[in-house]
Amino acid sequence: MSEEHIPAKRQITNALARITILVVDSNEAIRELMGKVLTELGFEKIVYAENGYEGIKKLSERWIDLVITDWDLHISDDLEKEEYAKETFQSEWGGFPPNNGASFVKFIRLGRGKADRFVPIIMMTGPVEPDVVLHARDSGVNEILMKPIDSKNLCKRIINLVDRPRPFVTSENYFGPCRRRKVIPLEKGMQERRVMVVEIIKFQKYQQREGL
Amino acid sequence: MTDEKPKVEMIGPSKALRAKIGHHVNMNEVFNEDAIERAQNIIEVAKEDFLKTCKHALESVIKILHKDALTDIDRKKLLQTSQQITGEAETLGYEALSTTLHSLKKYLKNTPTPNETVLRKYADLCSVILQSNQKAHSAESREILQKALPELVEYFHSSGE
Repeated sequence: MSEEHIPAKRQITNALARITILVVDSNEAIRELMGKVLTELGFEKIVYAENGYEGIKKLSERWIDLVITDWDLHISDDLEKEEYAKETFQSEWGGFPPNNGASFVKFIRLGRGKADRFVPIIMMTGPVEPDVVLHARDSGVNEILMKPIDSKNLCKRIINLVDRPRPFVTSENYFGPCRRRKVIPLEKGMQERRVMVVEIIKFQKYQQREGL
Repeated sequence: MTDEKPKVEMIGPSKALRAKIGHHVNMNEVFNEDAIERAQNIIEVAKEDFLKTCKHALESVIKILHKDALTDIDRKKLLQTSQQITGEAETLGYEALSTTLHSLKKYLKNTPTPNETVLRKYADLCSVILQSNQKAHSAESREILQKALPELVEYFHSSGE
């Protein structure tokens, strides 16, 4: 290995070491797995939360650079534990604690806690849940990671957040990354058709304006 | 009448993540093929481990489902185990298992007095999945569902699940 290569590699390692990731998942085994995968990829600061309630607390306690959350964020199957969490949450933040990924993301985006409203969020969802995907998108997530998880897709999502961040939109009923992202390349011949249609519309507007 | 358009504002993309990582760092180099493969190996190991741990949990679910009457403790245990297995199975790609247990969980939550026959069908379905080494994915899983338990599939349809 050449001497020149070492500092560059160190720089890369240090770069990821500065990032703090919050992993929110009700399943302990999945939290552990995500932690191992992220560590293998080079991240060093990983914090965990079992549910949306804990997630909000962690986000308020420290600076988080990236959130990876599951869709299903039920508090607990233990009713007493759930009641306690609900009461504590209500007294601390007001309202009901987030019980799914979308309400957790909305809570962050609304700026109700001390969390950064702009924090990048990746949401993991099941493979056959189109409603969930739409719901997640409308709640304000930056990226959706379809299950089953694989490292290549996870990396793609992180690269998107770093290299292709989307502008934020603020409107009456939405705050989050701009939902119009994909620029679908037009098929052969479609570009010409589109130009023609635009020209026709322009001409029609001109006719209306001039009263022709 | 005035047409007031809803106020929509655009805020420039946040470059905080890039700034913290460093502008000189090429993310494609950071997440190179080696790193991705190493991370994927961890997922593959987790998949194998899950098969081992899940076997015992699934066997206990089948045992409870074969009981004549469910007690509150049984019900709680079923819900807890199903919840745990569903999450992992879905994340690790065991679709047949996750779909079945998700459906069972939904059934138990929505039905105060579960039907014995339906519970037995769920037990049969869990056994089929267990026997097939839980490796059934998408098309295969649908085939297992339809071949093994047409009545339960019918039940899923009629209940809108």
